[in-house]
Amino acid sequence: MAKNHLVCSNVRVKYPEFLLTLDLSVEQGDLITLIGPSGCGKSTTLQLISGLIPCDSGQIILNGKDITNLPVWKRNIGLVFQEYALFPHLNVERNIDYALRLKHLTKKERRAKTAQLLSLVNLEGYGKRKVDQLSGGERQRIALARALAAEPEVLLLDEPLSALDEKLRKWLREEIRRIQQETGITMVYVTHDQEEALTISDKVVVMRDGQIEQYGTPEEVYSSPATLFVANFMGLGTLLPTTLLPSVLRSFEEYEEPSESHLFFRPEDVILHSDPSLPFPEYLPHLRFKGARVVNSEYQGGRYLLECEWEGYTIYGYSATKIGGDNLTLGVKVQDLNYFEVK
Amino acid sequence: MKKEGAILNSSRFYRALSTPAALLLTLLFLAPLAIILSKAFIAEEGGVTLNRLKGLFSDPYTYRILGFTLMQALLSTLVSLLLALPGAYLLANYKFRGRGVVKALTTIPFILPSILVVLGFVIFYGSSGLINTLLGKMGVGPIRILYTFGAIIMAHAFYNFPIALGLIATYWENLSPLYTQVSATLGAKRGKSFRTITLPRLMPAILSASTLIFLFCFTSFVILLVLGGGPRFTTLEVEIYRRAKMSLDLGGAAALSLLSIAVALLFVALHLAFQRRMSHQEEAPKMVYKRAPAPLMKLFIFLYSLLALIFVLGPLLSIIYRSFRAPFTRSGELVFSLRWYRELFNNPLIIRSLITSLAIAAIVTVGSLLVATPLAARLRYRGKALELYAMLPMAVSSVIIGFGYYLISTLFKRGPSLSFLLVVLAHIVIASPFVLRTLLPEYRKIAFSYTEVSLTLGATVGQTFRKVELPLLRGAIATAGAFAFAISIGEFNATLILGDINTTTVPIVMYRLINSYNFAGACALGTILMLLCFFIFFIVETLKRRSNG
Repeated sequence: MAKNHLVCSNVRVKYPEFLLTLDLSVEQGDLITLIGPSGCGKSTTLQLISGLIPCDSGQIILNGKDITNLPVWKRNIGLVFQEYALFPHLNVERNIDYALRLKHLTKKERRAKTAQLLSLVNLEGYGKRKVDQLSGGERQRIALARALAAEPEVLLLDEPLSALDEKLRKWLREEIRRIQQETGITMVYVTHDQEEALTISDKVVVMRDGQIEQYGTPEEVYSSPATLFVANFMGLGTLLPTTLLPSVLRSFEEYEEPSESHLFFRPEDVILHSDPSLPFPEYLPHLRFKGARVVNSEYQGGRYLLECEWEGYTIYGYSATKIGGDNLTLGVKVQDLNYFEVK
Repeated sequence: MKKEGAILNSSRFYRALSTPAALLLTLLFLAPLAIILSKAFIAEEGGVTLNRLKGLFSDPYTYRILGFTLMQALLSTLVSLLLALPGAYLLANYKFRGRGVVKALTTIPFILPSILVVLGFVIFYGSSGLINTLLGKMGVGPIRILYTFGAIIMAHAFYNFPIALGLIATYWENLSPLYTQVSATLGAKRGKSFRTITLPRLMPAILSASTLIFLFCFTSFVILLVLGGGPRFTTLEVEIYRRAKMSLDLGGAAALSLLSIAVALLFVALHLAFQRRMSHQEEAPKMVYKRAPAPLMKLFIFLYSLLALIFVLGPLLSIIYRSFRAPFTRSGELVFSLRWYRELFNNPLIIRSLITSLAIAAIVTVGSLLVATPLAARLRYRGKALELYAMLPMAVSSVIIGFGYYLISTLFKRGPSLSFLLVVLAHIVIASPFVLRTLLPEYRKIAFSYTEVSLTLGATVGQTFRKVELPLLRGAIATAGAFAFAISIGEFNATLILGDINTTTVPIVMYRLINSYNFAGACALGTILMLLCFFIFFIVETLKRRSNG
C-alpha cells in the first residue's frame, strides 16, 4: 500500500515579485513531474524541498518526519542539476564516491558500490575517466549515479535532459524511468517538455505563477484538464463558445445547457468525414460541424494535423490521410468535451 | 528568482571563517593609518591642532610638489598608453609568430621588484650602458638619460605600459566583432568604424588601465628617489620619506600622507567606476579567427615586438650581463667573471639579507593567503560594499604603510624581533589586496551548483569548502601565493622607511650598493633577486600544468 512519502503543506516563499505556494504530497516510489512555463516556480520548488532555500512558512515532511528546518546535508534528499555540476577536479569514480567518503565507507565498500552504480547507469568501466572527457548524455548519467550513491530518500531532478538533443533525450528519459523503477526511489522531476512529462510520470503537477494548477495522472491532465491553462499548456486543442452548442449538438437525450462559457477538445477527439451524406457510424451524442474548410495541413509523420475553418472558428483535428477541400464534416463526442469559463 | 548562493548566507561557516581574517586585516591596515592621523592632528604638547594641516596648505612648496606629482603621473600614464595601444591592437587582431612572447611581456611588471627596474635603467641607459656604447660607436656622443625628468617618465612607462597592454588587449580580444561588421555593412570605412564603434567600446578598458597606472605613478617612490636624483623631482611620497627619516618632521610627514591618501582615494574611486563599466560590457565568448597580417603590417609587428622586447628586456638582461663582467687586469678590459658572486657569498651581511628576505617572504606568503582566502570565500557571495572596503588599501601607498608602522615602532622599545614582525605585518597589508584580487575572480568562477550539489550529497558547508572549493582553487591559490612572495621579496618602500639593521632585505642592500656606486655587486644581487622572482612563478606554473595535464 502506497503511503504519502513526501508532503509539502502550506509551504510559502515570497520574493519581491514572486510568491510560491505549495501543497503537494508524493507517494512512495512514484515519479512525479513538475511542469510549467519558465518562471512558474518549478526549480524553486526543488530548491525548497532540498533545503537550498528556506521556506517562509509551512512544513515539509519526509517519511513522517518534519524536515522543514533541517540543513541541506541532513535531509537525505538528492538533487540532479540541470548543468550536472560534476566536480571538475575529480574523476568519475571520485565524483560518484563523494557521498560514500563522507559516510566513511571502506575502500572495498566504496569500490563495490561505485561499480554497481556505474552498471546501473550502463557506464561500466568509466570510473577512471575525467569528467571533461564525457559526452552530455554520459555526464547526465554520472550525475544521476552520484546522486543515487548518497542513497537519498527522494531524488529531485531539475530539467536533467534539457541540454541534450532530442534523440538522446527520448532514450535517457526511458533510462531514468527504468532506473527509478529498478531502485524504487521516489523522484520529483522538473521539465518544460509536455511529452516528457506525459511519458514518464506516475503523476504530473502543472504549475503556473507559483501555484499548482492541477495535480493528477498524465491521462487526467491531458484529457481532463482542470483549467484552460492546463488544457493549452499540455497540448493543442480547439476552444469554442458554448453558445454554439444548440446548433451543432446531435443527441437523442435530454440536453442540459452548461454553465461555462467555452468548450475545449483535443484534435485526437475530432472525427473527420469528407462525404457529408454519410452518417456518423456511432449513435453517441456528439457535436457535428458541417461544411468545414481545410485551411492548412501539416504532415507530422504518420498523420496530418488539419487546421479547419468552420463559420469563422478554427478547429484542429488529425487525419491519417491527406485531406483537402471545403466540405468536410467534423464530429466530436460529447464525452470528450471539457468546459471552461473564459472571461 | 533565487539569489545565487543564498544558502551560504544562512550558514555560519564562512562568517566564522572570514570574520577573524577581516578583523585582522582591518587592524593591520587601520593601525598605521590611525597613528598617522593622530600625528597629523595632535600637537607635541598634547591637544588637537589643525596647525599642521594649515601649515601644509599655506605652504606654496606643498602645491609645487603636489603639482609635480600629478604632472609626472599624468605624463607617465599618457606615455604608457601611447606605447601600449598599438601593441593592444596587434595582439587583439592579428595572429603572428612571437605573439606569445609579447603577451608574456605583459606579466613581467607585476612580478618585478621596483629596485630592479631602477638598477636596470642605470645599467642600460647610463653613460657606460649599452645604449650609450652603441651611440658612441656610431659617433654620437653619450647622451644624458639618467637623472633627468625623461628617465622618470621612461621608467614609469617601462613599468606600466605592459599593464595597459595586457588589460586593453584582453578586453579588445573579447569584444564581439559583430558591431564593426554591422558598421561596415552600413557603409562606414575602417577608420570611421574604429572611431565610432571600437574606440568608444574600448574606452572603459582604456580608462580603467589609465587610472590604475596613474595611481601607481602617483605613489611611485624608488624610481623618483634614485632616477630623479634631486630635489627638483620631489614627489609627495619622496617628501614623506624625506621628512620622516631625514628631517624627522613626523607631523609634517603625517599631514602630507593624508594629502596623498585623499588624492589617491579619488583615483581609486575612478578606477573602480571604470572597472565596473568594463564588467558590464562583458560579452558571450565567441570564436573569432585572427587575421594573418599583410606584409606591411608584418613589418610593423616585427618592429613593434622588437622595440618592446628591447625596451622591457634590455635593462633586465643588462643586469645579468653586467653581473658576470669584471676587469681582467687592474687597467681595465671587462671579461667574464664570477668575481661579484664570490664577493657576495663571502659577505656575511649579504647572506644574512638573503636569509632575511626569504624568511619574510615565506611568512608573508602564508600569512596573506590565510587572510585573503577566507575573505574571498565570503566576498564570493556577499555584496559590493565589503569588496570596496577590501580595495581601500590601494589608496594607501606602501611608503605610507611603512611610515605608519614606523610610527608604531616608535611607541615600543625596538628589538630585532619587533622590527622583523612589523616588516612582516606591513608586507602582509601590502600583499593581501593583490592576493585577494587574484583569488576572488577565480572563486567567483566556481559555479554555485558545485557547492549546492555537495550539500545535497550530505557534505556540510565546511566539508564542501575543504573538499570542493579549496581543491578547485588550488591553481589560483598557488598563483596568489607566488604574487605574495614576489611582492614581499621585492618590497622596498615600506621596508626602507620602517626597517632597521635587523630587517635589511635584499632590495635594501641593492639600494645601498647602487648609492655607493657598486653597480656590479648590485647587478649580481639583482640577478639573484630576479631569478628568485621568476623561479617561484616557474614552479607554480609547472605544478599547475602538471595537475591539469
